[in-house]
Amino acid sequence: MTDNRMLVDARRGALRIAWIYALFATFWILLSDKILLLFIDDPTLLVRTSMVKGWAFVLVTAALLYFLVSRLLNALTVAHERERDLQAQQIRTLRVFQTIWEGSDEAVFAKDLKGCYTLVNKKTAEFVGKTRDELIGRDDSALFPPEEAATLVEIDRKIRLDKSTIVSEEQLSMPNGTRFMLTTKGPLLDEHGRVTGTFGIARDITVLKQNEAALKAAYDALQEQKTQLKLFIEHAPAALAMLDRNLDHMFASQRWMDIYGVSHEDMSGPNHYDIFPELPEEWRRVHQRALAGEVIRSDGDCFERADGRRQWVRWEVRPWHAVDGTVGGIVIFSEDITAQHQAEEEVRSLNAHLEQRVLERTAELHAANRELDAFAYAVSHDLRAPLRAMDGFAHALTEDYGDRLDGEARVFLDQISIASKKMGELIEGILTLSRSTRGALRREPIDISGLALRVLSEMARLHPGNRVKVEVAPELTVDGDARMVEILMTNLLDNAWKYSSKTESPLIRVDAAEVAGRPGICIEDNGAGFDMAYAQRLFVPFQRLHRQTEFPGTGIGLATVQRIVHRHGGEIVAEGVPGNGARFCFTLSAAGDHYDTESEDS
Amino acid sequence: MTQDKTILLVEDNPQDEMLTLRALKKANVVNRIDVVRDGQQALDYLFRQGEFAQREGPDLPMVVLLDISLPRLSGLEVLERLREDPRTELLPIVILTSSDETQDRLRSYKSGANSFVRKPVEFAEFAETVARLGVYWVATNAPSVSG
Repeated sequence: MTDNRMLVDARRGALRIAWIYALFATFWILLSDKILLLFIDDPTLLVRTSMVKGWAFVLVTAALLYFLVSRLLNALTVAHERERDLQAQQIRTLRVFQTIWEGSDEAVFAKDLKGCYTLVNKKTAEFVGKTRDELIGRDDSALFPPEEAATLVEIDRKIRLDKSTIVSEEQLSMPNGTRFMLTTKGPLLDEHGRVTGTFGIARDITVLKQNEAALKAAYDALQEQKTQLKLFIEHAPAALAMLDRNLDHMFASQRWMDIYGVSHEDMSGPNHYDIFPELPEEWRRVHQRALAGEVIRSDGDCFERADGRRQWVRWEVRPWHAVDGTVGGIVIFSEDITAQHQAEEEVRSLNAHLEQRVLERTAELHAANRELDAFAYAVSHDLRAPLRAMDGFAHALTEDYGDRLDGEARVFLDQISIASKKMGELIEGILTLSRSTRGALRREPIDISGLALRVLSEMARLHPGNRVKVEVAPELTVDGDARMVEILMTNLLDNAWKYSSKTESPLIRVDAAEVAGRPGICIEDNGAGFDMAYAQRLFVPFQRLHRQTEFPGTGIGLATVQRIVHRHGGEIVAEGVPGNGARFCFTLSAAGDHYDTESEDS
Repeated sequence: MTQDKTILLVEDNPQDEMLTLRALKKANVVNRIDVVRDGQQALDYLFRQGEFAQREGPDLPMVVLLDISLPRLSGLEVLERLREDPRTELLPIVILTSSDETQDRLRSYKSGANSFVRKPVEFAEFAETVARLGVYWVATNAPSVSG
């Protein structure tokens, strides 16, 4: 193009030289002879002068031509040099540009009007995973899936139409996965402003997008946590407030607001000391200590309220830490435990009272027991002597003066003896009853089977006339006081023996059974039995269900048995059918004692 | 110190005294039986002091039948005093009581009683017990010091 212009310039210069020559020559021809004729009349001189004028014309025109041609050549040379400099400058600029776009981290490319790539930098080829040669002449449909290509084509079309530059985010499928590109695209124009194609600069912002997404997720999570925390604090069933370093409120529970009479509006942001202006210095110091990192708490502080009521408060003030480890503020927790405290006080006072009562009752019981012992002692000593005298003198009378007494008198004397003997037995019974449960209860495992067999064989020895069938289950045991259990078993077996003695084939059975849900022992006979209607009276001292003439007795035995069972914390139940035997079952385990079924059964 | 075949009965209950004496008589125990009626009298009798300072007869009885519940000094206290004194530490002493309290029996034996006998309520049994006692201590038992 420059060469052309230079050629045009050269032609134009030559033409101008020709024109100037023609004009000069024309004027010379037209005017030189007339000028000569004005001054010279002599024809000879005129001829000679004309010759000189001819030579002058040659000289002048030669000089003029020289001047014009050399000026033109100068101008052309300067122009040419300027052109060359310009070209070199342009080449250098182009090289800089090339270095920039080739070294760029962004894809830089140009497309023609059909959307085919005409220029791509190294990065573009890298992004799409093709060589430069593979790219040149191809369009987007050859590089990307149809929808993506369609989008790109549409963008290019819009650019060409509007001649505008568009910045867009494109999501493109690349060999290394889906990438997000931030692309600036614009039209390529020629010197006449006509669109010749499009250019584009694209930056891979996938990592940025990912970071952005992660950041957003983190932010969302944080928001959610914050909401949860707020909710959690708000509905905590305790007075709870979270404050920042300046003691401005961040969150507070509903309970807090209720207790301190603060509304929701008051709670967003205001300073603790604005809400509680009369807060004593002591509390302000606690806050400062917490801000310094200390946890301060009290399990029960008593506050005098304005109306004089005493309020017990459990509270805690602790720092919360920011991400960088510094104290971000404090959390205040407080709980009104007045009701609880009062309840505890009541329990304490009740307990103290109860302990006092127990001590008193124990002392009373000890006194009563001592009295009872003294009474029993007196009974054993002092009631017996008169009885002995009555019986003794009745006998003495019979022995010494019997011959002088008639039959009826002797019967009367016999009655005195019988009565005194009977009373002796009653006294004996009372003493047995009172002594049966005296002293400490020492529990130990007792072989009930062995004990029953021993007692029964003794009875068989004492009453050889009775043929009693005995069935004692093996390995029966109870945990009880050996002395008391012996009295208990002796009484029950004695009863069984006595009341079955008149049966045709007496049977006494000793077996294990459950009593009131606890392991126990049953003693059963097939003797006289009793009417269940009177079962309650069986265990009352001196109460008897049989006439003396049928089965003699004092009515103390079962009362003693029951006392022993109760002394162990156990239970005793009686079952009977008149004429068809009786069954006494007892347990010595106190209610609530651990009852290991397996070990009992084994 | 001489010991005669006397029996000393310490008994405050006159009816028991009568019955005991009668039972011994019935059992043909013919020995002399002295009776004192409280603990202090028993000590005075045995140590020949107080109202018994001028007592006739042997120094010590052959056996003492000692009731527990006595006025002034109880039978157990008398027993303890007697065992503390060298003169009477070996004297046969039978505790004869209405009580059958374990505590009394234990204390009696610990204090050195030779025997602990419960007085039965029933006369026949009582008579038999007393008679056996009398016969045993008077006729059977060999005294620690021969008279």
